[in-house]
Amino acid sequence: MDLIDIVFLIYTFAGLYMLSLFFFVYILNRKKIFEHPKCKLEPVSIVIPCYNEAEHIGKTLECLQKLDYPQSLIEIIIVDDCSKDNSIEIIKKYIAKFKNIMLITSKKNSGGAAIPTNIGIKSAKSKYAITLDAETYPDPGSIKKMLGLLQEDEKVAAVTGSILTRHQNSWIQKMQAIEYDITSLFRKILDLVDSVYVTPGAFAMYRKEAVIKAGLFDPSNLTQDIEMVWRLLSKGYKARMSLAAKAHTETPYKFKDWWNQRNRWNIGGTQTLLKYKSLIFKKGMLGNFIIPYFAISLILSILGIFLFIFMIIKNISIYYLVTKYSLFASASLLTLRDLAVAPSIMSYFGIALFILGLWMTFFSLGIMRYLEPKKRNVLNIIMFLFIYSFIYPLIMIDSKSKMIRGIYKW
Amino acid sequence: MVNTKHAFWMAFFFTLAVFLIGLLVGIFVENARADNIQNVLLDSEINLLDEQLKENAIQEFNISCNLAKNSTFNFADKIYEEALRLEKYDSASKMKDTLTIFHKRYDLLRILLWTNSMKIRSKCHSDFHTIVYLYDYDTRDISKKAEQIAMSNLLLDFKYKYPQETLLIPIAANLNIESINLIKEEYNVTNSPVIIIDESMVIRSLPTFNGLENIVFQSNNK
Repeated sequence: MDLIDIVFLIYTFAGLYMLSLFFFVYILNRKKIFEHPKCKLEPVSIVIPCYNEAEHIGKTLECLQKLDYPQSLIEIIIVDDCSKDNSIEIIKKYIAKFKNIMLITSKKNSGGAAIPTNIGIKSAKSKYAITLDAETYPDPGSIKKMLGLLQEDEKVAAVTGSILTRHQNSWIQKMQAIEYDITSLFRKILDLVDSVYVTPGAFAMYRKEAVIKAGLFDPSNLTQDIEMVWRLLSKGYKARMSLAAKAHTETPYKFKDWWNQRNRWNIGGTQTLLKYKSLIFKKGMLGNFIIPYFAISLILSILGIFLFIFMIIKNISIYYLVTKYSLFASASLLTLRDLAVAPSIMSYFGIALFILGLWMTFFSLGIMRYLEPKKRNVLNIIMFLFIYSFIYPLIMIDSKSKMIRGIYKW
Repeated sequence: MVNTKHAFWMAFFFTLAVFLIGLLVGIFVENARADNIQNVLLDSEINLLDEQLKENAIQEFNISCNLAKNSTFNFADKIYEEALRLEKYDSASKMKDTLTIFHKRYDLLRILLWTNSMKIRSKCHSDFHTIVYLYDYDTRDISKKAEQIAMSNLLLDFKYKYPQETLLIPIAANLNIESINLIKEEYNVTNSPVIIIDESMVIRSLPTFNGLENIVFQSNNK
């Protein structure tokens, strides 16, 4: 058994463990997966950072007016980060129409969402602040389904819901739709074991005082939402998830935009891991599960990528040389014995893990149909597993190379 | 909410159990393959003994040389096929290292086959050619591995073209078997792969198909 086999076995064990954890936690909690505590109606502030969002901001503001929550208890704060389009004009039209909308404009573009969000949170009058992307549309009942989690436990400082995709026009959007569904369920499973590691800035509810006490969002981190949750957890707070609370967000339509977004997430995740690495095995679930889970995933991915590249280069070199030698000698390039392969124990483990992964994908999408019935194209699911998932290692390489070169760009 | 520690431990023990079962199944499968190879090997060893007895029978009972030649060729083909199966199992073997011992035993069988074929050729004045292919077993050197694959394919093509005229005997040269070391010394083989034709000619680099044809059939004319 060589190094590649050992890494593969560790990878298989980790994968199998996560699948088992998912399965057991789901089975033990399946009846309450969509449950949420009832909430008491209290004022909430919705903070929307805005930069060149003319296309979406109007629709988002319309959507907020349809929320199943008294408008008199909702304060909407839009922080414009020096938009170059006509976002401000559109916002002003809505301000004239609805009383609960407020616009703050910054003098200089900050280059990210953290600073405008911080400005909005500091200006918020309510005890609870909701961060919302200008291109995310919460479902009418979503606030009620999240607020109860903050109200029932003073230690809960952040709550997220199910972030689903709004459009599925391009191939990459179809892939993201499957991914977002699975991720939402996975996040709920993590919630059931007190391990929510991110409340996506696209739609999250915070205890304002806790966020201010923690020092607000970190502008130097490319995933300020992950970093915020880790900081809150490190200070003894909790993060929760309400699967029933839905919001639909616009996802990148073009492959390049998707690639850049994932690069940013990848860099931000690693930045956060490096910042909090000293808390490993400390601070409850943060140090005992979230940090080791991130660290093991990162190490296995990097190791896996290097071994994969090594194997590819080695095999290409062998095939190249065999072809070169065979052409010189006028010998067969391929013989029947090359096609006869005996499966090894590694093949069995690989096949078992793949089948379980496939089952988990279908199982998760099946559960998510209770939240939002939709028809799934089996071909898309297969492409998600075979193509989309295999692009991630390439993003990992790109993001790590950017980190090494010091390129931290929103 | 379920007790968190409870779910984590449940998943851990479940994974451990599945993993251990998987490893046990792996050991079982590899054992079954080793048993299978061992049975086939025992059968081949009996066949070889039979070949050696045939050699005596040729002398004592004046048995047809053609029959002896065909029998040697059939035996060579048989152990070649078996060795291929062993190679296939060996590449899939992850848990155990017992298959290397079978490689050694097959190599010994092939050396015996080689010496046997020499006797038959000399006594029966047969016109077949013995092509002994010495290679490195389980080499990590990419260039050598590629050269061996190409050479092995070339020899297999040659065997398919001249099934009755050539006896192909591949032998791993790096398994530290004394008799192979002696052969290597005799033919001054310091680096594999090499091809020894009719115990007289040594090809130390990859030949072309035509080149090999010329060398093999030239050696016949000598």
